[in-house]
Amino acid sequence: MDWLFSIAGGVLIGAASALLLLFNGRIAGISGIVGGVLSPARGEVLWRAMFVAGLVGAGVLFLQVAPEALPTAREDFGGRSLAMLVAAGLMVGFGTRLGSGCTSGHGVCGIGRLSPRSLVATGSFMLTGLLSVLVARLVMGGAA
Amino acid sequence: MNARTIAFGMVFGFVLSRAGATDYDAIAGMFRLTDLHLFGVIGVAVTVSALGFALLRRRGTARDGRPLALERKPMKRGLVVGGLLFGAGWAIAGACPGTALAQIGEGRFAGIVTFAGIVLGAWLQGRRAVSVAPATTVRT
Repeated sequence: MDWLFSIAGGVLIGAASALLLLFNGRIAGISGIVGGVLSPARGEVLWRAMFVAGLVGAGVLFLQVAPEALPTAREDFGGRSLAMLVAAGLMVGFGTRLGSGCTSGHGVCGIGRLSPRSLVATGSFMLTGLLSVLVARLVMGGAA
Repeated sequence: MNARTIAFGMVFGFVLSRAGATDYDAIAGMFRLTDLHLFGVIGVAVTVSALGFALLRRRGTARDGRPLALERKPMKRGLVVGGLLFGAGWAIAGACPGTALAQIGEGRFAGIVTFAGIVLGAWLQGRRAVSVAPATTVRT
């Protein structure tokens, strides 16, 4: 029944993105929402903070109410060092700000509204995502 | 309005956690093309949002009368390089900005570490962008 949840999950995210646009007039781009807290613009801080609070709060609530519904949590670091995670996070933060978006803004909403620049950005990040695991597999014999 | 915005964020958080998108193995499996279920989630999300956006475009404005942020934005320098960097970071960290926040909600230390890196990276790019030039967008 996992495929059924994949469909339901996709419907929920798509619907929440459209509803955020309907009620707030804004695109649900999480890197932009986070970045907006770093360089605050008038009238754009509160809704972004609320969205982030919900995003983080969901997991907290989930673990209280229905922890069994979450997939079994695996080892936190998955064999990666702390420095490696910070460096990878740095690439994510730098890259999404330089490229003006991430999975939600470019990948879901951008393609959903057929934005040419989101197609370019999504193609770029999917490409290196695929290549990274391929290279890691070839070089390290399956470490990543 | 605030409660509603929190609810929208929670929908993202619930789905990302329940779908296993906060799990490094699921992200690795997606990029290895051995576990395609996250592509399914994204594909359905794109389809549903496309329908919603099309309806809203006809409507024209948000509920409070403000304009919808649906205008086509111009291509810009950094789009490809930024995307390439992000993709590699996503594959290594196993998290994008949304899933890093959801990981924090699940109480995962890895999420905190990754998110610290994300904030640092975004801040560095923000500083760099200010120092390079104001003209970082090119119309195409």
